[in-house]
Amino acid sequence: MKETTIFLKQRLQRVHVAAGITFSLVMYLAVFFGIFAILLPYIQVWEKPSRHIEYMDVTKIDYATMIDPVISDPNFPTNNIQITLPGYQHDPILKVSHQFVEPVYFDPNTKEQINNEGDQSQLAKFLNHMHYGRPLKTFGYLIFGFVAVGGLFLIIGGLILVIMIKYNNNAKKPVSRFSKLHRKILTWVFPPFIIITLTGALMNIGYTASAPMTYLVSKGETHRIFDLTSPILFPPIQSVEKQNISADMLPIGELIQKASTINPAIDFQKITLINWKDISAQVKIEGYNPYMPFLNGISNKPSITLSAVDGSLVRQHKVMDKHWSGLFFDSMYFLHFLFGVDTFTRLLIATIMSVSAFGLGFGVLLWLEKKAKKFPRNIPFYHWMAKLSLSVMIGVLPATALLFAMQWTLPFDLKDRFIWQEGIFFVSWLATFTWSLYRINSYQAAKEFLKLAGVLFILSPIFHYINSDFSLIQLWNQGLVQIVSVDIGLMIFGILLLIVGFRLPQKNNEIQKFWSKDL
Amino acid sequence: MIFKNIYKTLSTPEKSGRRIGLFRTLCAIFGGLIVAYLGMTLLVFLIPTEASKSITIPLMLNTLAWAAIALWISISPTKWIALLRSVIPSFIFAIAITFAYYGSK
Amino acid sequence: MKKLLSTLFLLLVTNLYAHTLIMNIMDNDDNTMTIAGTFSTGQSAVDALIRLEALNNGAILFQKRLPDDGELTIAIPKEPYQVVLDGGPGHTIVKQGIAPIDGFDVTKITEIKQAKKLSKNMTSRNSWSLPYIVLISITLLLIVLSIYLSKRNTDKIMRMIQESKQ
Repeated sequence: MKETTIFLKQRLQRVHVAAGITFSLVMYLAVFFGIFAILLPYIQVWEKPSRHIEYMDVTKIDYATMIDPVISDPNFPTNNIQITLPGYQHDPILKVSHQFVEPVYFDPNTKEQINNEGDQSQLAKFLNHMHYGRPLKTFGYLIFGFVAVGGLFLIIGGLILVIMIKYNNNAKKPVSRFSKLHRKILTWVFPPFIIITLTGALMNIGYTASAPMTYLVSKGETHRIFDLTSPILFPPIQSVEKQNISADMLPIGELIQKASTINPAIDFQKITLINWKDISAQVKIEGYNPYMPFLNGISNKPSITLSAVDGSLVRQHKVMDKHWSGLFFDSMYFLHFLFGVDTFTRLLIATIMSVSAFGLGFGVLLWLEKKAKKFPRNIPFYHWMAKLSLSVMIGVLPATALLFAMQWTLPFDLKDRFIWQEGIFFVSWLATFTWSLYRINSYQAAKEFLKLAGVLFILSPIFHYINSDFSLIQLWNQGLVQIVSVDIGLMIFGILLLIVGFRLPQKNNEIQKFWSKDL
Repeated sequence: MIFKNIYKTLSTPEKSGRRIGLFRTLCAIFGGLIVAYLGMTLLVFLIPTEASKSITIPLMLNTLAWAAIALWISISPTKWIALLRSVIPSFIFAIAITFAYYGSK
Repeated sequence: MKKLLSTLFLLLVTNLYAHTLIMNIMDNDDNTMTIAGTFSTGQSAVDALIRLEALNNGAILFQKRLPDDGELTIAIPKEPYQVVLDGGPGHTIVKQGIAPIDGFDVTKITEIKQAKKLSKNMTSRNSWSLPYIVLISITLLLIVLSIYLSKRNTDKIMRMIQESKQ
């Protein structure tokens, strides 16, 4: 029995290490870019000149001046027109859109149509795409999806290991230090980590492989999962028969105010115009209820439908009206998407994920340190995994910093602007791999990467001020807090990287001391 | 005779647990996937509501179940047990699904 | 039982699109055609734009959004054309137009001031534009350099190990 237990522990440990080192790099990238995805609403406003405008109160906007010319266009669709209100995802613009047309963007302050940068500026979108492997298309989705399952495998296995094995927590050597930090960090952060990874795996590979399950449970009716779930999770807008009698519409601002009176708890985000300008016209105003987090925001959007003619209540959908499967769906996806949440919650989750990234990093360092022990003492450790993980995990920092620096240095009217930006990012990231191989001393290379990243992150807001014609004070005075916060965040991050870059040791004996002392 | 030899090879425990091997790895990945998938499909039938409403939970837990079952299979004491852990639950779930599929048609 | 087994093999299915746009064109045999737009879920694509473009010069021969029933019945043009279902950004389906009963009359060409570009099914990137050439070249260079540096430094380390053993 004792031998069985020993073998079991050995197997658990072995399988955890093998899976860990296999999945570590891609998992780290998913977490790293995921942190930027959490901050996406702020970055997407920071990156675009067209978004350097003041926010307006949604009840005080003159909607008619902007919307009427758009929907009067005979080529524009006539029904289910969607208006995205300023403030949704911290975006100050008003967007008029429909499923089948390019959206039209307005500055609600000047009521003028604005030139959305579109494909020319995709920084936030790109960082989000890197988070789930989109640049590699289907192959990328599958890889990131399998790595997410691997992550779940590692979390469960890791927890069992921590329970079964009495690890030594006296961190006198680098190996024990890395082991302790890896275990402690991931033991603390695993609850949100497991939920976020689970939903990530579902999105990348769960739906793709759902055909047989769907076919079986629907008794052969369909193999498309969305045929089954859409009516419950994303029910279509109820169609209203058009009377073909023109009528005057109440101002949209007034309708929003009426909706606020009916349910003051909702932060309104989008309005759908149904049969606009007809006597049967309705507006469906939907949003997010911040007082009931985890239960709404994804598939469950509380809404109020009013008659556009007299403002009478047609129907209301409250958070708890959703079917329990929808509530479960939203509760699981909430931590992953964070739709509608406040800045504090976003920063909290971003912090937890940053700490998780360190936990993953220490796991890799632990494996490398054990490999390094096999090298003779006076011989520098030169291992392919060390160089690869150095460039993937640390080299990604200067490459990402270069992305931000390029955002406000590349002209916005440059042909193929985004291809240049994306391409230079990947090339510079690859260059860090080349440099890692050139520099025998990995710590020296790491220091160089951190310092370079620090300088570029500090320069990014400076380039922003120079080329946007906005200073920090101007942005603050105009209430563009989201943009200011990104500048300050980039500056602070850059300074932190510079400090770490200078403080990190380079010589072998100093490295041993650094990781052994009380940090 | 051949089967006896195969059985003997698969059921002999290794001298240490420091090696997982390709056999356990493949059983864990593919066996785990099949067991988890069939298990979650069965769960849809077991939840007492319409499929469109009950499928959400099993679909979401599918990948977690895959990870957990893969771990369970990968730490099997012998290759034979790893194979049994992949095949027997799959078989049981497949039969149960067949009954559920045709039973309530 | 066969159905059950065959569905299990569907495990190999890879990408499933939740919401693909589909266009069906039916010849009514009276020089008219009915164009229907639907989603792969069966839902009709009301308000999607139907456009007939002349193949000669890209002139727009006809343009209208699908009504509530998701179908449009229109006269078949006399000149060669293509049918476009414009479902917004990234969702354009293009199909060759059905010929009228007596065939196309190539003398009947709609005159426009300037020829227009025909719609395409998918927007394809020009793979060999300048940024691609430059960046791929640098990438190849870096890969070659990486291989060289790796070999050089590995040899150096191996020499150091051998020297330390002596």
